[in-house]
Amino acid sequence: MSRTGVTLPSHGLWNVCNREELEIIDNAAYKILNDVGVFMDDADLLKNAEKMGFSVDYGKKVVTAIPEHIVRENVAKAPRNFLLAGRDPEWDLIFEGPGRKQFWAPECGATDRLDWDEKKKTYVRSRVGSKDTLYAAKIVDGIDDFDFNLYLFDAAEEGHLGLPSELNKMNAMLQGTTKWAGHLCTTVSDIKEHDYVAKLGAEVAGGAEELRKRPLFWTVYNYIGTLQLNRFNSWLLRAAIKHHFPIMPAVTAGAPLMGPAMAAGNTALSHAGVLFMIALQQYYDPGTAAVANNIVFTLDPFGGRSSISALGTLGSCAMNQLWHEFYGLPTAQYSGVGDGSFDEVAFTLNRSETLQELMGTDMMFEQFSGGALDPRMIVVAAEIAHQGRHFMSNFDEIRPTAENLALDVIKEVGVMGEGWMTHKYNVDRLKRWGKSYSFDTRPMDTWLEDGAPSWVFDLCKEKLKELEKHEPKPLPKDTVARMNAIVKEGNEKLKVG
Amino acid sequence: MAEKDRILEKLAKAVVDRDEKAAMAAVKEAIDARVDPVDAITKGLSAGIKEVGEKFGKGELPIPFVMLSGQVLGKASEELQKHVPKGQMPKPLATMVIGTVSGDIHNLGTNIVTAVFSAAGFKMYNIGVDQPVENFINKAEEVKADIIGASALMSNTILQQKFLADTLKEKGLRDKYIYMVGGGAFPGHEWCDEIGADGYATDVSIALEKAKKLIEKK
Repeated sequence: MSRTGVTLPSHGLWNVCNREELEIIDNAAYKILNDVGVFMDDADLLKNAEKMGFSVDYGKKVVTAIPEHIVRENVAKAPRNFLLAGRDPEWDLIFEGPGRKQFWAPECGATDRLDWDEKKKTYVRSRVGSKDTLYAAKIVDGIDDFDFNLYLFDAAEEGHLGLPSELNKMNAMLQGTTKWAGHLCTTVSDIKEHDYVAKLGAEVAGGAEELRKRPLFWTVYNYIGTLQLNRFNSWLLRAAIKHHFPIMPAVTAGAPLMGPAMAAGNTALSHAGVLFMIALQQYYDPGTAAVANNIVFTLDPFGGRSSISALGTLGSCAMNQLWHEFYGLPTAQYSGVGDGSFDEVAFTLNRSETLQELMGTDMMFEQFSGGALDPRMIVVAAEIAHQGRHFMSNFDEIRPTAENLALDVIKEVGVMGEGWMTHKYNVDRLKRWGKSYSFDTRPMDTWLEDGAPSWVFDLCKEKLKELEKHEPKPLPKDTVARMNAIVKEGNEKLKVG
Repeated sequence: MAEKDRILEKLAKAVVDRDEKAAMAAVKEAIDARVDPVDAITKGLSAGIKEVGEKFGKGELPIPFVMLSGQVLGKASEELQKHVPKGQMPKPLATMVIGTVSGDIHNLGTNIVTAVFSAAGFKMYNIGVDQPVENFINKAEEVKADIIGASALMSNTILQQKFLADTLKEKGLRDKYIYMVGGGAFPGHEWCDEIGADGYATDVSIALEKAKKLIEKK
């Protein structure tokens, strides 16, 4: 029995477009696919696209004249009901159609770690490797408000040494968590590295066929500069088809950098990219899960940073509606800002997560700056997830049912409110009160007397110390030994430089 | 105000305003009034682009505006250069070859650096994305660059920055160039030291200050 996810209310979620407007955006996406097309830097995938009936310009590596009916026909093969498996089935993410449950996890992929030096009052920055991936995976594993586990620290050290970083990263993730282990990303060594990762997954799942039934991770794609799928993404897609890995495509570089088509136009672009990739995957690997990433990316024109802007948020909501209402598929989304001060990141994260909760996004990625991460931010993410989950799980409290209105109780308590604190109705429902995960929620004077500890610097630090003690249920020793042997062989065979 | 000063001001303003029509009109005025074309470039157009660079640094101007100002400057400057006597062409602050390393097609950062550095008076050669080590070196040799800049977004392409440093060393060219690295893969000082690069930055404003200091030292 799975313990994951918050059940979403069946109505009352935030929508930004009516059906007619959604249809216009949906049609615009098909027009983009037909008139503009997609760049793919991989001869095999181009051939695959041609076999599907698309027009391919091999010189420019562009697929155009993509017929709408072929895309629709293939996207329709993507399953509505599927699971993303935890190593422990208790942590399975079970999808039964779109917008039914909301799952949460922090997301980052930082290449550096920041540790606060209290004496010098500054951060010490250091490069991370798979040991840090493991460290963060264990912490996330120990936080119940996180339903799954996305790598927070990249295996950057291994990358710097010319070692296969995705292989090392996934090894750390699979050993460090009992939850679904998240993102397998692009590599620079054709699909050989993905083959090694598939072997790792099979070791943990109990065989390749078991891994197919119970996928422990998925593959993540990012279009670049409008609809460019570089060769790394292309290789990853080939690997996904070969090994039946689920996919999550995203268009993380909205085309018109900052308008004029920032919201509606970029939504159509993002939608087009995701449609194309899911169609391609489903043609060659029908029935394997695909989750649309409903991100509509915009860039901060003043600093060139990635951002979840107000217009991007509106676009993401429209994307979410499109995939839920027109295609019946769940969605995932990043939130926060890709780069920036922690204050800005935490604030934006909180705000954008709230909007995504209300969009009914199925998988919530609480994103931190990919450059460097202070592990205390994991606690920040946990607090946001905790509050968000509470909000969504009590969403139906506002429905004016007899129980929620409790007119009999109001009458019984009367105008003076006598005995209301200890009334059975109240006592029975105390658990519905949302308690903070990490804030100091005592009265202000008590907080002041205790030296006014700050949330991020003091309280999250203490909470992190507790979380660092968490040890996930280990894999059998012989499995770990075989996994380590796979990584050793991969490191030897795939090392560059 | 003397006529020359008024024309120089118009040139600067046209760059700040990203007004190509006004810039070309001011160029014509400068030529008709026999304003020294070198002055028109260095005291007119350059003053404008300096102001643009400063405003960008303060967060007052968005990148597209910097790019557009750079384009206006480029066109006006091209026209003025036709009138500069041989050997009197004003020198840029430095010449830089920049690109994204092999295997990486992220170009936002290099485009931003190209725009902002151009605005600051650098002559920029942006060789584009997915560039093998040899292309950086060949271009640098061809244009007699002072600086080579290599960008990498992904942690598994960052190694290419090391390969470029190694190849420069192997070819005996390492001391000829200032070598800067940057990009979303977040090369820190540790990485910079490891591969023997001269400077690193993941933010364009920091990169500009570092480049200027390195040029001063050279």
